[in-house]
Amino acid sequence: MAEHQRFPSEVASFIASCIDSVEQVEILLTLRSDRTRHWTVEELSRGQHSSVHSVHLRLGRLIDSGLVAGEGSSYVYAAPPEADELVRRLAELYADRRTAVIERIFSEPRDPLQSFADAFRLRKEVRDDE
Amino acid sequence: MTYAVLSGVTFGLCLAAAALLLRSYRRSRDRLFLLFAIPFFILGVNQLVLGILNRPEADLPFAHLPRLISFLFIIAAIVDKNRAVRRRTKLRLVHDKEPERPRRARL
Amino acid sequence: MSDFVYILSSVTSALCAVLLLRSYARARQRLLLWSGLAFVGFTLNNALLWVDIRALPNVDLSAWRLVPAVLGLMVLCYGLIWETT
Repeated sequence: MAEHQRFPSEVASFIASCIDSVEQVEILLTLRSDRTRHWTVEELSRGQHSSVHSVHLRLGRLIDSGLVAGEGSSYVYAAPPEADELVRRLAELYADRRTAVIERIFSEPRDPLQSFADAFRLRKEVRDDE
Repeated sequence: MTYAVLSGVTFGLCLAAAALLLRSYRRSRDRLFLLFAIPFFILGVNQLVLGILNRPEADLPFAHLPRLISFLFIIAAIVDKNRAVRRRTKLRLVHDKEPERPRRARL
Repeated sequence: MSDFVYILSSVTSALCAVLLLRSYARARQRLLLWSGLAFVGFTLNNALLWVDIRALPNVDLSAWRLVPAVLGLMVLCYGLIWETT
């Protein structure tokens, strides 16, 4: 797809390393929209229309990536400047080209060995991201 | 002389390839790599022997046997890969994805 | 019998090369490129073996036919070392 070629590679790498769900993007962008505010899981889950458990999971990942900080039982946006720039670009892309971003999130980075082994399948299944 | 030298080089590289394929087998747990590693080993030893004897296959009566066995392994690997669906149970090397994510079933 | 074996090995190598390069065209994984090219080399090695023995029995291609095999092996080893995580 032509769009894939124009998808900025830094954002693509950022997504590949830190983002594995759409919900995560939405939570991240929500937190970023009001940086000084401390959000509780309940507030976020209401905004996301998803379970507290799920939001908890996403926040955990975001904390591991260093984008969010947990303080007590609330969470705040905490990305350092370079990461923040990537998140900003992600936010722009998400607003403009949401489908492309979602596709990127779901296209898994392929393990080379697995690709090698899969090459020998004579009847290929159509992959979502090809 | 050239034949002997190149045979030795081939032997060395075949062993290296076999070792790397074995490493790949360990990492990926995919039998295909093992079934590929064995042929490279066989063909490497085969070439070493031919090089030492300095007799390229043309003269030897059973020279085709190691090659036959090797390629049967490779064919077996391909057939094995295409056989009935096996559930992929190995963990992916990249970080685990959440189960809620819509995933195409990997066969 | 040996004719059959040498033709079989050429065809099998060619099949592997095609499968790997086809996957490379789709997925752009470098390991697929290197291993695909390696199998091209192995195909040449096997094809030249048959040529050496049957088609041109008076010409000694024995050292020459090892060259594509060596090149293929080098490329394969390079790929397996560098392009795997």
